[in-house]
Amino acid sequence: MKNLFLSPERIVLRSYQRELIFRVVGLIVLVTGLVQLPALFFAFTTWRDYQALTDKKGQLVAAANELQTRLVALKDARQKLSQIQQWEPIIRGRLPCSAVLAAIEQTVPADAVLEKIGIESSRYQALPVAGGTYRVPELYTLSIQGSLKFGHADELEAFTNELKKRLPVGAQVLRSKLLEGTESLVPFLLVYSITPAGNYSALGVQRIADPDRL
Amino acid sequence: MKFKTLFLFAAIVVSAGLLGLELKLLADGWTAAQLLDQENKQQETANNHLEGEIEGLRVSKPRIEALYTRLSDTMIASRGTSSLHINSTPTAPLNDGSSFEAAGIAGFTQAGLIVQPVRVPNGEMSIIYEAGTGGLEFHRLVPLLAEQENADLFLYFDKVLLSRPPNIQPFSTEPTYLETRLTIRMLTGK
Repeated sequence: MKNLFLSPERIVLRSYQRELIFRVVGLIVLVTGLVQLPALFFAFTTWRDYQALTDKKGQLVAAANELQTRLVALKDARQKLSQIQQWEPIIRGRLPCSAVLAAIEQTVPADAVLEKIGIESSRYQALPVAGGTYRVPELYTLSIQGSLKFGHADELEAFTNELKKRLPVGAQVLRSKLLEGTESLVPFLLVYSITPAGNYSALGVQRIADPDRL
Repeated sequence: MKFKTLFLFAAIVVSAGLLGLELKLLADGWTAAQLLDQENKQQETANNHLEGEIEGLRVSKPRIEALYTRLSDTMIASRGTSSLHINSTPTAPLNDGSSFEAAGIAGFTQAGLIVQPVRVPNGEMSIIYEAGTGGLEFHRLVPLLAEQENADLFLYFDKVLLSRPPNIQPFSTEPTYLETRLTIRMLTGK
């Protein structure tokens, strides 16, 4: 039957307004439209941040160039420092043997006499230097042979400990032993291992970097 | 009915496509901004580090120069070459008894030690000597070693062996000339 009261346009319009599918489509369009607002806001803030960061990058690059220019003026000092740093492990690993001998002299008991003192380096590490390598020992062995007057054998322990205090930090007593001797003398053997750590203040050695007091 | 389904499907596809595209663009923009921010932070850290280094160098310049001069001077004094140009060629070969060698070991020879050069391991930038004497007392030997150690900060005593001669009795008040054996090693320039 023909619909005589409603025009086809009206029917179509009514179907767009009332049917569920078209309402769902309308909802989708509305939601999509609404989502555009935060999207635009986020896009704007991102663009603004990006611009600010780009400006900052330019400033930082300019500052870096300026710093590089300033660094050129200090090139000589930088090279010298680099050379000192290359030498540093060589100097740090050197046990001042004269100071060790002086420490022995200062701590040896009055009732003791020394027969042999030996300082020997071992466990070398080859460090690179201009043109090759230079060996730096990682361990020193200090051995002392001597004798104590009869009746003063107990002074060995005090001597051992006193000398250990004077040696660089990390020095270890490997042997501290009384040996069989004559009636009047008691021989002893003392062996220390010393790891050169660069700090020899216990030996009374002045730091190389310190200004000369003279 | 077919038209309605197609219409709904098309609306969903267009909407999802549009939102997806927007999300991707926003994510790309945000990632780019984050990367730039990270780069800036790294550059800022590098700049701060460089500025600290420059300031440190500027403040420490006199000390660096003084220490460098002191270290170089020890080499100049002992080996006749300036470590201001540490890579420079030595003035003479090592094994011909030249002044190059003599300068490094002069303090020992002048003190009466007999000095003998020793073969240097391949690749090592050093000169090595064995030295010995039986004519120095302890109180003269220690200052000599200290003087040489102070004169050349790269001088190593690899071995120091001091022993009392067997003919000297313990607790003797007579002068005791120690039997001294040293292994001396010094850094050389290229």
